[in-house]
Amino acid sequence: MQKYLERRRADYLACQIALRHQNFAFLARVGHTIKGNGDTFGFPELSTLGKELESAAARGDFSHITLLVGKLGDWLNCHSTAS
Amino acid sequence: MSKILVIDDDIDLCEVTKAFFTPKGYQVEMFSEAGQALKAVLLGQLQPDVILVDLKMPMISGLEFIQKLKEQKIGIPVIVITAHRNVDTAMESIEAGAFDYVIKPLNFPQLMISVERALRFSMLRSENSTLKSAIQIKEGSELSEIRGKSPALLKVLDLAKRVAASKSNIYISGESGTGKEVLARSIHRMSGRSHNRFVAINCSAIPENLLESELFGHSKGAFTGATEKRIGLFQEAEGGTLFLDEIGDMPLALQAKLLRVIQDKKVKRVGENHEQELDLRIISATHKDLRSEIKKGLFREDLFFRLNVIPLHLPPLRERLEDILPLAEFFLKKYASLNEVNVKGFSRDAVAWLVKNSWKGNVRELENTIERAVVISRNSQIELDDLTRFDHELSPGLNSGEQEKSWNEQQSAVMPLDSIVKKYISHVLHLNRGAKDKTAKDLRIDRKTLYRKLQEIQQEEHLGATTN
Repeated sequence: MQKYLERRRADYLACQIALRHQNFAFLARVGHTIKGNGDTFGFPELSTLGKELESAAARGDFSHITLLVGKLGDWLNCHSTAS
Repeated sequence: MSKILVIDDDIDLCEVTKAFFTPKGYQVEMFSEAGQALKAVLLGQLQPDVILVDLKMPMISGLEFIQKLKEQKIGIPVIVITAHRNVDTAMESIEAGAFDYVIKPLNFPQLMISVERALRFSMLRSENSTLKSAIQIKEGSELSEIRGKSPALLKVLDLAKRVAASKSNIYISGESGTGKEVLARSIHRMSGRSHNRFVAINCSAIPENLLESELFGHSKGAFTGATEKRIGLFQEAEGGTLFLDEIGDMPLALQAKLLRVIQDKKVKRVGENHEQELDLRIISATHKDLRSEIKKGLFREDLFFRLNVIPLHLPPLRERLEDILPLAEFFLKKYASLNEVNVKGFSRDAVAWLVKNSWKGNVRELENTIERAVVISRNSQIELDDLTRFDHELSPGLNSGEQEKSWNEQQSAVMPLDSIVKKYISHVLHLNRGAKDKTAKDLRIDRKTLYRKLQEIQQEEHLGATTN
């Protein structure tokens, strides 16, 4: 589980960089991955967030992506303090 | 221990899958990139019993991965993992050849059921294939058309059985009438390509200018007369076997093109620029001595080496005397049953003649002789006279009553030159008891001309029969 959270933190940092470069393909990829694995690891809310991120990136909706990346950061903060 | 290969660019899912299956006694290998996994499987470095592959991956997708396995005829069951819940994706996976699909989030008990089903299927298929080949080898069923028990023949058949499953090209040499095409067909049936077509072409029977478009196909308007687009025999034989009979008669220019097809495994229709991939095995055969043709500059040495990967030589009937009587008995039964006559054996004189005859036309000549004898026999056994009565008066394939007359007797009336030529060809063929090589040699024409003339004669006979 610790490894999973570490990898999501790495995703979060990479998403911030991708956001600055408006690399929507990468953001969609991360969204797709989180959508696929969140539920499996017991985090359905993360799957929902991933799904939204994937579709916002596909639309190139910069402001919504910014909001979702922020939510991912909040979620990680919440879980890192809990662990 | 069953082996599972997991391919997913999401390393977390790979690891959690491994963590689930390993304690249950499975050996799990993980790959985050399908291309590398494919390479390892194709090279035999990995031999998994079941593969789990993610549908959506950056370089090669799950569907492409399945397609590539299919192209290489690798039958490991593949379970597709997908985050898409729609039916289309599932259908697409199954149509592409996936054994099953599971939807993310992964439900491991459900995945376990799917993996166990796939393993069971894999095991049953492997057992089925082993049993099938064991039965074929035991009964020799695929080689049952080739009769004979002489050591010389058995040696060839044994080699044919062993090489049938390989992908290598095979070259069959042997005199006319020894059964080269029958052997080629049997090899095809014993091979993994048996579910696809066996396509045969006689390179000496087709005029040089048509042979290329027969083999390669052509686009519409590629040349005068090409009114329709047509696929060639190479493409017709896709996935199966192409049998090139009398390869020694293939024109040099076409030999170069054939060589390129074998090297590149691609084919281009006449009049087209686009090349198409090919997957087929070539079995070639000839009655000619290709090494001597190479020395004369009539056959390309590089092509010979490409075709002659596995050489098989069918010995002439005179070198396997012990096969003559079993073959004669077999043809006797076959034609007695076909003609519904009660002929059951051979007289002592007939047997002595059968064994002593030189059988220059090999098995084909023996078959024709027995068929004729069965039809004309008036006793319950074939007498010497039944075998030799029409020695100089009948020839196989020629059915006109005029054949029974001598050449001089036939020339009582004035007739067109073309008719005389055709009649004379039929007459010489008849004297040579159907041996086309000898007939061509006697008439000092090449085999292609002889075949063309014989085709014209057949067409005229057919037209005559339908108009009468």
